[in-house]
Amino acid sequence: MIRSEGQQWITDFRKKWVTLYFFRVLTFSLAIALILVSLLTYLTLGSFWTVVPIFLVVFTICSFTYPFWRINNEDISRYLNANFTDLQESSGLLLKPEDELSGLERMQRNKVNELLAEIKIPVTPFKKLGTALAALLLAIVLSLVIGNLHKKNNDNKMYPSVAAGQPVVHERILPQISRIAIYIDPPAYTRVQSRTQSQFSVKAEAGSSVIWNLSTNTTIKKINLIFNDREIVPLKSQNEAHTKWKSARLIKESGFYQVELDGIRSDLYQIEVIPDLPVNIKITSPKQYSTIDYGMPQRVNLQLSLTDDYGIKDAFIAATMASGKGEGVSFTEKKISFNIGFNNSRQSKLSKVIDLKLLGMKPGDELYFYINAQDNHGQTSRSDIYFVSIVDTTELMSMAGMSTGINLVPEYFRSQRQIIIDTEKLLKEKTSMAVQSFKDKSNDIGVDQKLLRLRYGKFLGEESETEIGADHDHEEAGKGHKDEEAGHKEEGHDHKEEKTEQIANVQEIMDRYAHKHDIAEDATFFEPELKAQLKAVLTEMWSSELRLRTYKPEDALPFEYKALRLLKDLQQKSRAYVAKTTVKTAQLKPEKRLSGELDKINNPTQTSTVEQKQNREYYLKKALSVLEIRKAGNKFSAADQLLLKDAEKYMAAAAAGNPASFLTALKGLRKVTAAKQPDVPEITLVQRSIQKLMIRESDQPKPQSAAPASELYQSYFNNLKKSER
Amino acid sequence: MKYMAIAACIILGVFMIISELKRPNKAFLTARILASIVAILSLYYMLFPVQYQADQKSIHEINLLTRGTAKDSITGIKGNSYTTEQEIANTARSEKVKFIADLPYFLKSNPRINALKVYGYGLSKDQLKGLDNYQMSFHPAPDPVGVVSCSWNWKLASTEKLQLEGTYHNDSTEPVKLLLRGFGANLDSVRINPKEYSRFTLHDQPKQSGRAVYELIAMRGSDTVAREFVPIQTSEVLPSSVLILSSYPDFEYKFLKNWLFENKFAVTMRSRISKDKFSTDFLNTSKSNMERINPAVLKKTDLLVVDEEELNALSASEYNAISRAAESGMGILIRLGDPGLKTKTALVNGFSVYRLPDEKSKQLNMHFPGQQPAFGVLPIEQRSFLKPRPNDQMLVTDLSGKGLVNSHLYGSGKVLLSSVPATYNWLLAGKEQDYNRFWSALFSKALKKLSKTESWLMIPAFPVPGQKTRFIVDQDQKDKVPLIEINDHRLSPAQNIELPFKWDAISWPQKQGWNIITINNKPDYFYVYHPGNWNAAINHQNRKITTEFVSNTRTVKAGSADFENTVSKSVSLWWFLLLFLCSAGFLWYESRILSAKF
Repeated sequence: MIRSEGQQWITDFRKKWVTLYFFRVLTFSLAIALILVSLLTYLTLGSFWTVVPIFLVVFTICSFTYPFWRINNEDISRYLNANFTDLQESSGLLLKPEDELSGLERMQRNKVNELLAEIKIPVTPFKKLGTALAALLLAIVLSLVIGNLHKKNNDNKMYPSVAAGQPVVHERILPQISRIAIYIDPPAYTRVQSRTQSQFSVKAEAGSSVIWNLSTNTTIKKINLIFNDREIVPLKSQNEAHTKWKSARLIKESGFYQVELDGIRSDLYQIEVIPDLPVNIKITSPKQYSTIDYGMPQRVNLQLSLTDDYGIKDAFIAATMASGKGEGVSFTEKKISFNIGFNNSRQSKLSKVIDLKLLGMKPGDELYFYINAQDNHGQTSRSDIYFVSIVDTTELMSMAGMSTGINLVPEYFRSQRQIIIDTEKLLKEKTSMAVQSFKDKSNDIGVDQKLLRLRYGKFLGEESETEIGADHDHEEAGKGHKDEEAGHKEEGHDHKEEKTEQIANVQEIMDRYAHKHDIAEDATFFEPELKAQLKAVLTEMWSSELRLRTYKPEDALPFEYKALRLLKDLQQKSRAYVAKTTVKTAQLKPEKRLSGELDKINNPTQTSTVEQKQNREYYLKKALSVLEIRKAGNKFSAADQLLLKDAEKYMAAAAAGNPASFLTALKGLRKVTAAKQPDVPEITLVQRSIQKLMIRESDQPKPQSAAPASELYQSYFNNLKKSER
Repeated sequence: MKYMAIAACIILGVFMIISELKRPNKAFLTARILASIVAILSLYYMLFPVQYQADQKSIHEINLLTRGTAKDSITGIKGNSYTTEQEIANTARSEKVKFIADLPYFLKSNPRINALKVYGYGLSKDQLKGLDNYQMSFHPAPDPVGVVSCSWNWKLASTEKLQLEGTYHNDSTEPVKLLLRGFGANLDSVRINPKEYSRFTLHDQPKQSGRAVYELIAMRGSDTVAREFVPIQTSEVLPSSVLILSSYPDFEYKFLKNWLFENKFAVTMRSRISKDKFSTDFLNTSKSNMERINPAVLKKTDLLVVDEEELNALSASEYNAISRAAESGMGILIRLGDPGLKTKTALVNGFSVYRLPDEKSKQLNMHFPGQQPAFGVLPIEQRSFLKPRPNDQMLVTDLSGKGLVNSHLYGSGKVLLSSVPATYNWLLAGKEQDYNRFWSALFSKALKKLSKTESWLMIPAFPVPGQKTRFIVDQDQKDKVPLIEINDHRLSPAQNIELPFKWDAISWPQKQGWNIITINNKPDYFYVYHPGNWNAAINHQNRKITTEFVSNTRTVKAGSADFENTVSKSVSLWWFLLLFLCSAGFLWYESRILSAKF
């Protein structure tokens, strides 16, 4: 279908209209959203970024109430008909298909077509867009105003009196001071913003520089700041009239200060320092002492978290490897870095796998490591030392420990070692062996392992099994007995072998017929700790036996090693070593010995006197009482004043260390000392603080007191005594 | 006096009758004799009026309203109402309740009153004193709520514990919390259950040195129900002197010596190191010759610590000096020696020691009988124990009650025997508190008593400003008048008739709070309470005393009902004067006029 010119015009016009309408809705919703958001931020319910979702929501709502996409050509023609009388209500004809029109209609349509070309494009949509734009402008202005209000409000809250996080303190300020502006500039590394406050009490990060700007309403000759009652810092005058003063100071520790205006001292004001703590290191894995057994991967999975109050600068692992043994131990130190940047973050979770093989550690070596961390102020902190040791299988196999010292149960250890040797040999010969014989051999070793286990089980009071290899057991036990016998003989005991053999035989025969359950003595022979370890050995043996009997000797090997290591530890535990020392004695004078003469010996006497120093407690005790009497209205005497001065000294020392608890009391004490009338609540407050300063005295003996000893009592007592006799 | 008068009258009468008889004019002789006798008799009766018992018909009764009389109950009371309380008189002005400023004075000036009806909490002991002859009835008010009785050791040595005991009457349905407050801090507290009279004990170790006023506060929820003052006074203890004689140096002595040294005691310690050879320590004291123990040394000693072996090793004269010193007040603490010792001294034999064959436990758990908490465990296998005898006081036992430290009086001193071999393990184990507590208690018991030169007592114990307060002063010199001053105002004491060393003085302290009493220029303090203080306790006390008083007087009066209602009256003297004048006039008239006629 070929469109007529007019139709084309209408379509174009619709497009324009829709676009303008869309922009109008858009502008409106933007305006509404802006106002909403600024209101929300004013009420501190949201941040400025909520503008996006709010705008979307508002826009959707607006578009559904004013569905601009639904405008069609009919609507346009209706609009044209209504606004342009020249069209004679006929613009609708343009939209109808040409072939449906009557002749008259066609004429009219041609006329409209011509007319349309002449019609000026209507300004209404532009106008409407203009109003929308104006609304947006208004909204922007409004939101700016609200934002400003909000900021001012915030400033009211944050800026003039107190900095963030600091309690508002009611302060008494000298009347000459008209304006206070204290500028606190924390050190850069803390990344805390500098702030200004109009309150004398200061809470600042350690190392902050604090600048006092004071304005006075009259001319003042001299202003000093007195810190902790000791240090005097003068303020410098900033103008000719001597009404603006300034001074700066680096705050490092808590305390208190007061302002002195031409000799008039103000109240005491608190300085509280927020200390910068070193990095806190928390290691979650591995445990402080860990052992890497045979067959386990030789690496340490290190996991830790670091926290600091301002930022972590660096952290590394300081590792020390100890290798060798005895006198030939050598240490290598190594610094292992985490290979990440800390970026002054406040918290960091780290993990690192330390490959012991890469560090060049061999079995038997030990690794000691600790974490060293540094915060952005340069304070370092380090963790505890952690130990990782790799078990040396060759050490376990060595006989070094066996040949020296007391050997409690030697053959057992040999057996476990033998099992390991056998297993290793079997594994080596596996390729050149028939499958069946390999299995048989493996099973044999398993049986050996079982026997060994049963033998240790006896120490724990476990019932011995009799079916498999019972004879073997006895045989070995007998052999052991004989060995012992031989030992005895060597030590020079006069035994007759035949006789002992006979006794042994009797024992053996008896054992054969008696079904022995757990032997009480065996069960109670060891300490619980030792027993626990023995149990652990048995568990390893069980596991090893299981693998051997299922023809997996390579799997059994780690358990065999572990069992051996535990046994070794057991053996080491029962040993003590005492080094040889030399003794030097004075030479004896034989002529003086045993003579029994004491005439040249003097009676030794010692004298000493305890210092009768009146200590801190004494002054505080007295001060408590003096204050108590003051409550009743009695005036302070000169001695009392001196005493209170002493108490004040102690209170000031306490306040310098802990201003939050003692500063009010110190202020109170000064007030009470100076006041003409007793202020009971204030005195009570001071007394409470003094009581806090004091430590509880321990009991002291005190004699009982007797009534005045008159002659009558004395004679009565004497008569009683006489009558008793 | 009476008899002298009678004799004089008889002599006068006889003389007059004789002179009448001797008169030459015998007219009116009988009449004259009669007149003379009447004149003399009336003269006598003018000197000694005739008294007779008359039955009293009416009972003159008044109502006495005391503190605690409920205001609405006053209207219901019939008869004349009087009150001793200004407050009641003010509030019940419409009920015509009259105020009595001084009860004894009022009763004296109104002798017709013979019966009292007492309402409220009753009268104090002082007020009841003169009321024995009155018919009394008591209509008590309900028992007061609050701290109805309380006592505490108000004079403390430093580090001594304040112990405040009392009874609280809680009639509400809510529990009450009692707080002991001092220097603005809560020191101790206790809960009193609702609807209960409960006894309570509060403790604290006062920290000040000198005077202080604590407060006892009763709180119901967050309301303060009562607030009472608890004045206390602590004084520093002067260190005593201790002599330690040891037969061998050991750790127990060493630690004890150091402990005493740190507590500023004057310690002389002599340890035997060989035959007649001693090592001597002089701590906080001057050097002196300690080779022989003589009475001069012991006189300066407040407590002697000695072990049994050393006691045996002393010469007879030394031993006698020690026992004589103990009799005159010195304390002796003996450490029980080896059970194998053959000779036993009399001092040790005064105690009964027994040995258990085998003690299973290798630990010693001690405590002061009846006191919490027990001491820390000592790693000692204790086998020697002490058995209390009739006059003994067991100071320390183990937890099962077997005696470890025993004591008895010895003359005016005290002897302690300890079978505990070592206590220094406490110090090694860091339990210094236990060590301090143990030895402080033993030493406090054993040390020679401090004899004061004067002591005083105050009645009542809770004086209020303006109240008559009696001070009874005891001093060691009997013939000297003590110098007693209250707040620099000198009092004039009266000597006790029977006990010449006791003196009585009366004062009306005016100042509320601490007042100074100076006896022989030695100042001391006493507290005068605010009138509103301890009211519950005082009212409770008055109520109890009055109830007892009334029930006691009732029983006495019940048997002598007639006595109650008779009153002795005397015949007016005018009658006798008239009689005397008449008879004397007749005698004169007869001798002048009648006889002149004849």
